[in-house]
Amino acid sequence: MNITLNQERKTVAAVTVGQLLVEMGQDKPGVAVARNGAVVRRTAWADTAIAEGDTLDIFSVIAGG
Amino acid sequence: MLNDEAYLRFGRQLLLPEWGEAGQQRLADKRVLVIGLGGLGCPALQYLAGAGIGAGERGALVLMDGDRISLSNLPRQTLYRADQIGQSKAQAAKAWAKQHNPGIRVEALAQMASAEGLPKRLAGIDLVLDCTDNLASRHAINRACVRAGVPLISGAAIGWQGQLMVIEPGAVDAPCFACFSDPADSADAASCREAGVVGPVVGAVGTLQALMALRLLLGLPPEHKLHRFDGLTVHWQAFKLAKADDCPLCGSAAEERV
Repeated sequence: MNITLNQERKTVAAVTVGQLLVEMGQDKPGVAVARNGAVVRRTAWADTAIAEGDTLDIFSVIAGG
Repeated sequence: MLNDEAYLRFGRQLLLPEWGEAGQQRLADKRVLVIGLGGLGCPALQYLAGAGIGAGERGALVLMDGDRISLSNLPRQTLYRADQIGQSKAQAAKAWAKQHNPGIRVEALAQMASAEGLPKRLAGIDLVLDCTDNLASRHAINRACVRAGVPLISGAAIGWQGQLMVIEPGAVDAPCFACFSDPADSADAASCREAGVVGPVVGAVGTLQALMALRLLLGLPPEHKLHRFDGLTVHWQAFKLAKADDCPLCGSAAEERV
């Protein structure tokens, strides 16, 4: 499946947000995900499907200041 | 009624149709609590004091930080000078604000925010700015604000990255910080001491916290997105952030978990 991940085109095997995080090695604490411009809550990762052409952003929750 | 000096001082913002004399009076009488007076709190305070918050009879800027000024703060904590190293940030920030505008009321609290002390501290406060530097404080502040119904502007920065969100307890479908970052998530987010931080990045986020604060206090339309800034690619993003039904703090099942 072809998606845009963090502003780069990528071909991935994952079909859910949860699988994508595992595939990218980002399935870890402190990570946040947005799909097509909306934050996907951690508890919904496993059940949120990704589709051809989707835009995904994976980033860290930050706390410094 | 504004006096002549206030007309002269605040003239450029009085001209704005969304602001005007009524907006100025409204801001003057607000009590705003700034928690953390480092790289976020310094620029936020400059613009809040500059805008005239605390200039009215009822209003005040309340400045909370238990830290002292150190040499490594100076590149980005722009209110402080080398001859103030070792001084309380809360006291030094108050001294700056009183010098900037002797007509505003400023209260200094030289202490860290604590989960136990916050509820009492929020009495009479109209708005909180979270300018702290760690996840535990952020969750404690969010929890206290959600429970007390006090709006909160949360900003953060690390490395080249910044994040910003407005939390309005009680507003329809408005998320809280725990809707975004689950308190049970065991990650200990990196600190600027360990990971470094770029001065203008943390400064930009603090400045935008002041903007969001002024927008909210002036009654401009609410804005509940998660904003991200990447100083390496110079890229801004704004993500929709929904209130989470399963949020441990403000979700529908919250009573059972908190």
